[in-house]
Amino acid sequence: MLCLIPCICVHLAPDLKQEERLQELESCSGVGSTSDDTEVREVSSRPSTPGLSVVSGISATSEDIPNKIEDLRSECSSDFGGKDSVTSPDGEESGHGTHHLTSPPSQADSLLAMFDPLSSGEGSSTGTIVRPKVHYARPPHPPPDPPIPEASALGQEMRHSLFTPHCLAQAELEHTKQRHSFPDRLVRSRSSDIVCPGRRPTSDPGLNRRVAVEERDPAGAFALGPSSSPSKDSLKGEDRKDSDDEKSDRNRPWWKKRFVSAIPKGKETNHCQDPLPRQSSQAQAAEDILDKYRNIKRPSPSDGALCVEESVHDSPREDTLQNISADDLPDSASQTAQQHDSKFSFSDAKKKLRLALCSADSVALPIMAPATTRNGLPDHMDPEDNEIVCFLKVQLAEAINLQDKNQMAQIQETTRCVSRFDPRTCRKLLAAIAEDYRKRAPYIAYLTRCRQGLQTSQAHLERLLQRVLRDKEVANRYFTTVCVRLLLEHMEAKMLDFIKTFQVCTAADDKTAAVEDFLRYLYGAMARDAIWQYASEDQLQDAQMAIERSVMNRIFKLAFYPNQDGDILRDQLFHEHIQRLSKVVTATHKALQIPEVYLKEAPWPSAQSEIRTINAYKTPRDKVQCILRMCSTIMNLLSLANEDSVPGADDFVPVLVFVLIRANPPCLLSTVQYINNFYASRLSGEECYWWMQFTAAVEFIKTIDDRK
Amino acid sequence: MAAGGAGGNSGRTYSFKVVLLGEGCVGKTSLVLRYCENKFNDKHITTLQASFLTKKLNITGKRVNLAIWDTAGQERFHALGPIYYRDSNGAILVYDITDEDSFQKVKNWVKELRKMLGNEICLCIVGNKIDLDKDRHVSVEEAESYSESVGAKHYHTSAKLNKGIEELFLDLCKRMMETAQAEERLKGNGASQSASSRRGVQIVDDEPQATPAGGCCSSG
Repeated sequence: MLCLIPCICVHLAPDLKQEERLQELESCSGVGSTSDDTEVREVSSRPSTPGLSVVSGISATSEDIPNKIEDLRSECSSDFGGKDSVTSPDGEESGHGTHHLTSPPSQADSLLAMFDPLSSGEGSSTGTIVRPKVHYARPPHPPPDPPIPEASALGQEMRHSLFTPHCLAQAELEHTKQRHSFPDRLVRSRSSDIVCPGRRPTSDPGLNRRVAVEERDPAGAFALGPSSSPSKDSLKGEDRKDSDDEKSDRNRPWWKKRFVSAIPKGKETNHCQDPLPRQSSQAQAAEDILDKYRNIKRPSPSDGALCVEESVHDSPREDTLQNISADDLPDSASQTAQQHDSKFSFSDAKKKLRLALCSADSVALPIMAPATTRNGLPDHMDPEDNEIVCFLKVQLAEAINLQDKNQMAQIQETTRCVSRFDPRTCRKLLAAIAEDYRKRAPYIAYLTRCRQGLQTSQAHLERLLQRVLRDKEVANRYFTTVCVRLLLEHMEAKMLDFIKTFQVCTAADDKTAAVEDFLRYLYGAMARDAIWQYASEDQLQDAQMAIERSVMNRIFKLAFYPNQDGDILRDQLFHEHIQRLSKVVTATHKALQIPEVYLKEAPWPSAQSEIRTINAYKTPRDKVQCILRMCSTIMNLLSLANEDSVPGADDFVPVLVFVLIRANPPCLLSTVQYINNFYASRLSGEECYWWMQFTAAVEFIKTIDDRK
Repeated sequence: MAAGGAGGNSGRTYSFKVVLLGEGCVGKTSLVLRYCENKFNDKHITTLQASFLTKKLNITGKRVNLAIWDTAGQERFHALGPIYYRDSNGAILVYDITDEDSFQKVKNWVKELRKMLGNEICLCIVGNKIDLDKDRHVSVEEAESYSESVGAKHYHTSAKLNKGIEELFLDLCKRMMETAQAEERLKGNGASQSASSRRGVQIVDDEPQATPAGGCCSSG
């Protein structure tokens, strides 16, 4: 942690001297290598979860200037208090170095070509060698905001910082601000040519990267120790720093949350300025401040863990940073202040244009025939310079039409920025945006995956909820049944009276009326009972069903076989008839002629098993429900078999007959009679229809002759 | 006979049972599916079955709940007819215009229905599959004159092209409402609702002629 301060100081010296300084610092600080190694591993092993990095970026950009300072603070604190990670040279370097080296150089070249006019001067510097290597790490990662066009500008800035050591501390502060808003940055850079490349807005990895370089160059140098060439040094240092920077970036939100309140602002700024005082032998004070930070950090060891986790996720972003830095470093050397300005305006315009684009109605875009193609395609070759302006004018018109003041202001400002560019720059601008867009594709894919995952979880939770609700229903019903039993225990005398009167009845109507009367009486008694005073409508319904069940249970024999032996004998005959039929009747029997398309599900065992249970139910209502279940099972199977059409009665009736013959439920005729006697008046709607089909099927079975 | 049970009530909400009769393969199921779900041979039909469908209508401010009962049309199930059309307010008798035989079946059904239910049931005779008009085997004149002779309304429909189906059901509903209202008037005797009675009266007038015409009873 202490090493960081020296590192920053290193920036003061020109490149060639950097090395030496770093060496010195290294020896002084006595960096522990073990901790570094672990960090390196974390960095290299980071899985690609761009989401996290993006989030941090967003949070950073959306802040106001005051927050930016805090931001910086948090960064510093993370760097210092977070760990000794800063000092890890060897492991990190090796990891990143290999990564970069292995990557192909083609993309870097193309990028360079794209920005040739702007960055040609830079390209000639030492950076050219470095670039290709660094560039390559990028492609696989989805940078939240690819900073291609800005990269060169940044590089330039970087150089500036190196050459202007005296203003470092101030520059640092400024940079923190710049990070958050381009315009701000622009203003600053103009006001003072010496502006150092501070931290960039988090949304611009390139900037961050650069910052990292600044801060950690020394660290990188440590790692390298006495390395041979400055260019190489810078490269390695950068790589390494990228990881660090990344980490700090990552941490920022956390730190902000945790430490904004805890860390006094004044100290923070001091902290940022540390490098300078240190250089001038105020190291002691700085160390004190650092110690304070450490103390703040230490109380919560979990923070360290968090940092690690976050860093693990950072890799994609880090790589982007590296790429950017590659651009930056080499380019920076030969940049002039004016170019610097143009870069700013370029990136600024890009940002604004991006805003305008994302608020545009994508459906309306095709109307702008020429403008649409440019909307993100780098190979767009239309020479007209004001295409973008045209597009923006249409957007502006729409905004005015909608009286969207914010939008109007935004678009007007964007138009102003863009209209100042020549056609070539415009094209470059669009190419840059397109590139950004492409680079974000993996992130979008990641978000899509996340959404899928979340939806899966949601579906799972809904299923769980269904289960719980079902359990609740069953429990409620059982509870109601128990309550009904308690109620009926008090009514035992009445029950016996009712059974006696029921026995006396001979006509079916009388019996039906007797049952209905008694049930009504019981329902009334229940309504008056104290237990049921606050029962809900559903509970009352359940209770009525439970009452009906117990009553019908008591009189079942009498009600089901009103003619006693006569009914039983009739059922037996019919049962035997069906038994004979089941031997000869197949699904393709002449009387059924079930269409071939449905024969694959024959003999519909699930429907058979449904109807076989019918005698387990005692109340007519439950029996009808059982029949309904059988019918819907048959319908389900039929619609499963025939994808081309929905099964109708023509398809259903033969199958129903076949299922009844095969299942051959006992007491079929008595069942029909029982339900007709005690439930027919209550049948309604669909229940009524399926009951009709059932009785029709039973009638039809009577007519089939097994001898034919 | 039994139409009163499901007929209109004072609540101004009518519940009608409409039974679909006709030989197999004339397109009863497609007809009702097109009407209730507006679908025909759709691979993405969510309906599991088309044998019992309901439709809610609002006709001149009165709510109508229509329950449409599909029936097995095969000749071997003809004997189940009485079970099917019991308590029906309306019957839709469907034939295939390319199939002369299916029109004969409709005639049988008409005789049976008039014999069993008299005038209380509103009859619609429907020539389906008019998209296959080039293969027509039942002449329009024959079908329409027969329908008029038995007090039924004749319609030409195509479930495939979704033609004539809305009109068929809407017309049928209006007629069933009129029948139900007439019945109410007869019952209540005091209720005066002479506002909308157009075809209901016709049916009453025509039926005496129709019933004697059908002499034999058709039993499968």
